[in-house]
Amino acid sequence: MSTISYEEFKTACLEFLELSKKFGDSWKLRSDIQDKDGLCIHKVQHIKSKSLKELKNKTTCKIDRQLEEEEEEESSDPAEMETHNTTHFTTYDYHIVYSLSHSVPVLYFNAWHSSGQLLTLDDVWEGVDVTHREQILSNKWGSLTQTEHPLLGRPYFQLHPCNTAKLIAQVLPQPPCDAATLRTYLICWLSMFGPPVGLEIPLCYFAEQNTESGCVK
Amino acid sequence: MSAREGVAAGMDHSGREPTILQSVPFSSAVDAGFWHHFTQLKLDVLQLSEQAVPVMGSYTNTDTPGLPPRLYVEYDALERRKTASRWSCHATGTLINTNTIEEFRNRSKQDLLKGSATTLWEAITSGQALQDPSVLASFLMFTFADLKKYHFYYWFAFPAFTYPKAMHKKPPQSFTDALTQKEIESLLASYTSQEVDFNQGFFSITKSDEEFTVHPLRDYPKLRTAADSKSNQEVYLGISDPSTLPSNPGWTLRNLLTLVAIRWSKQWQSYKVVCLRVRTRNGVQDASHSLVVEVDLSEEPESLIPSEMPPCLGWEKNERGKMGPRMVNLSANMDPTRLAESAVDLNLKLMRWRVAPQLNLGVVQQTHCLLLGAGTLGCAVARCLMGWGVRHITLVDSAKVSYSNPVRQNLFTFSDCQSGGRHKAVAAAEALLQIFPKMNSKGVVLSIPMPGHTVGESLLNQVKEDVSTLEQLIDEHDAIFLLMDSRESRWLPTVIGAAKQKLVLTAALGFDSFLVMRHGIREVGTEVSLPSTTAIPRNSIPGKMLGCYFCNDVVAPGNVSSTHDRTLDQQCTVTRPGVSYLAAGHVTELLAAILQHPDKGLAEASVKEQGNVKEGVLGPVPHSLRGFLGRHQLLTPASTSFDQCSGCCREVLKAYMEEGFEFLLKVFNSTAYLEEVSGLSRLHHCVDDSQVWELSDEEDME
Repeated sequence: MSTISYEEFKTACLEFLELSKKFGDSWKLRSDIQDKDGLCIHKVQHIKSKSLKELKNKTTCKIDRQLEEEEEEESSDPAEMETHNTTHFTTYDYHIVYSLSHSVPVLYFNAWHSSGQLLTLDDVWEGVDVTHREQILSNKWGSLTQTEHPLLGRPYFQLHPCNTAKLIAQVLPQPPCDAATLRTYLICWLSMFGPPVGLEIPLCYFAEQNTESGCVK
Repeated sequence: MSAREGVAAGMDHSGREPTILQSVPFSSAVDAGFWHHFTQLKLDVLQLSEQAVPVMGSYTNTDTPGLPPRLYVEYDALERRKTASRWSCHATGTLINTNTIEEFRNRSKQDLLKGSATTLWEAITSGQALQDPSVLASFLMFTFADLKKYHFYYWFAFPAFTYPKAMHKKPPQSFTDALTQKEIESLLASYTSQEVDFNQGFFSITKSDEEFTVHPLRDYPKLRTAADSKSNQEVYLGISDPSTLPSNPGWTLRNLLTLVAIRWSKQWQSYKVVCLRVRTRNGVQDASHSLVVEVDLSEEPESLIPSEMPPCLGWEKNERGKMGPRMVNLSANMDPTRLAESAVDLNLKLMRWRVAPQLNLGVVQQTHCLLLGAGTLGCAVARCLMGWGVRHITLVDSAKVSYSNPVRQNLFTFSDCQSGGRHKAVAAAEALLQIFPKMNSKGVVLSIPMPGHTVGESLLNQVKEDVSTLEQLIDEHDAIFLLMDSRESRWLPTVIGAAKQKLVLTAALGFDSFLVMRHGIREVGTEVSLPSTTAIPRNSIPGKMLGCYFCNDVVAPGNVSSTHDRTLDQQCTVTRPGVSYLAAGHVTELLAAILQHPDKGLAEASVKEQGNVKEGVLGPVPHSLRGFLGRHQLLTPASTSFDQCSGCCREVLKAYMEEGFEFLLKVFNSTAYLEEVSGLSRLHHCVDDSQVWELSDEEDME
């Protein structure tokens, strides 16, 4: 079993943030945590999405149409490029938080359409890509669910941490002991849990580790 | 696509008619978390104020192709203390919020835009924009927040002007075509070595031989003047370009060109512009998809430099491509009641997934439950039902909360006892709402008339009304729980429930024992006589032949002349405190098991303890449970209905259904009458052997 303490988690995150900065990645420390001791790092990613399934909320459309202005002058500016159909994109906001009960990192995320409307749990299950579909969906409620973000108190999607320690132990048999190995731990964990929900880790993160010395056991 | 646009995107590099340079407008991207912080701000600070609020937006020039250029408003956009970060360009924004939807609709969009554009114009003409070029990427957010429904209406505007007319003779070239690899690297190196600050969006670039150097925007005139005299030097304007299109720069170039035209077009009419885009792949930066474009402002002779602000534009179209605001409904994420609702729902679904995937949660949640008695049992059963997701609970009780109640009756608190005490039914119903705001709970203060409790003349109308109310309540609910503390009070609802073929569940407490039972569901109104009780199948009793609470009695309830020792259901029973929770838990789970059984209330019950009977998703459904805390024993006996039962026999039900209140009144006034109708009195006459009497009651059973 490969677990880490909260202090170790914090170290791992801060090390990871340094790497992120170095590689021009956009991981950042979350600044709106009420709990002074709470730490959460997050990254936002935008992905082009297929045509927006028309918002199921019919009332939205009704109200919006009422508010639509009649003016047409705006649309005939020659210096503005015509964007024919508004290109739709989905925003994913990934959070790395510590799980006290499992003593491992947990991946939470939220996703919303370019309109601002949040995705539902069903949308998210639908969106899991082909490679990971079986793995996730065969165990839907146990793997990818929606629950309260431990530090923000709002509903976020979560990859359940119950198997984390076991999985990591298979890949990293040695428990982490210093900043570099803790960082490795986090990267290893992220590389397992990120991809099923659309978060890829560039190879440069892994290349970095090999140049650092591991701990002597 | 018009011919002009087609040409602009064309690949033909030969010189031809100059075309207007087209920029790609921004798409707004508001972080869902932004609205949380905005709500906080509105509630704590703004309240009804409509003053403009500064918002910090950002955009990036590091996108993968395919995404539209986005003006991103992050969750912390309202923080004043945001720090700059590399690869993120700052955009100055203003948020104007209205307090009503009418205002949002009626406010002049023209005026709003003009206001925003004026600030921009002044920054350009005064030269402020040269010191702080990030104002060139300014935006307006016009909002209305409905904080009851958590609907947020918003409309972005990215102000720009119709001046100048920026033309280009040849289409923009990508870096791959325009620069050498060495040159690209040199430019990137200089760009990334700049100090990270808010002004990364706009800059000047000098090129000396093959080396590029990035400078602040305001140095441009100085640099160009110097470069013009040297042959191997060139000067460019530069933007961190949010667009990824091969022939079109992003919106920010427009305002830069307006600035350039106002300030420098007297000196120079043509400019080389670098639209820098950087992709990071595996930690390595690549700028080869950036653009170089030669912009020509000569169509706008300098004498036409406007003295007044030119017409402005820039409202963002909505998702349908029309001029209108966007709205996002965040109630599922922000409305506390909805949050509670979905959390409870998710919890139940998780339970189902983990424990019994075939569980039909909906049928339990939609069962309307009537709890007769809001005391120890009533409170505990209500809570258990809530755990199953039941939303409709009506509690009936005539009593008030007294000082001894709160410790055993878990919906009441000390304050409920004050001032004579609140009515239990009402207090309990309210407590349920406090626990879960979406409960549909109701409390009815009602005294249930009982056999053997004479109804005086003065009370007649009240009793009649009470009976009628009770009949209606039973009618309106699907599961009736008899949770009173006296035997007699159970009689009337048993009869009504049997007549209406409702699911009736009984729970009764003794000092250290309890009884939980489901009443059989009779066939009523048929001429077919019930099969004789001697003809029951060996292993099980079908649901329609199961007994009720009174079936095991040979005296009618309320018979005060009875000499039998009633160990269960003494008025004001004092029991071991744990017993009520055991009974409440069992009766709720009995309901759950019934509802998950294909035959529901008609499910057969096993006669033997571990018999082989038809099961539902939650297993077999016993007829009754008897618990003996002293011996920590739980039995599940099953018994048939009694032909002379005072609560459910054919004669009694017939009399009730035919005579209604008349019949009931006679019973209330005399239990002897009830024994007469049910045939019990005949039974008493027939039996000489007193042995029978000792067997038939719910005294401690082995």
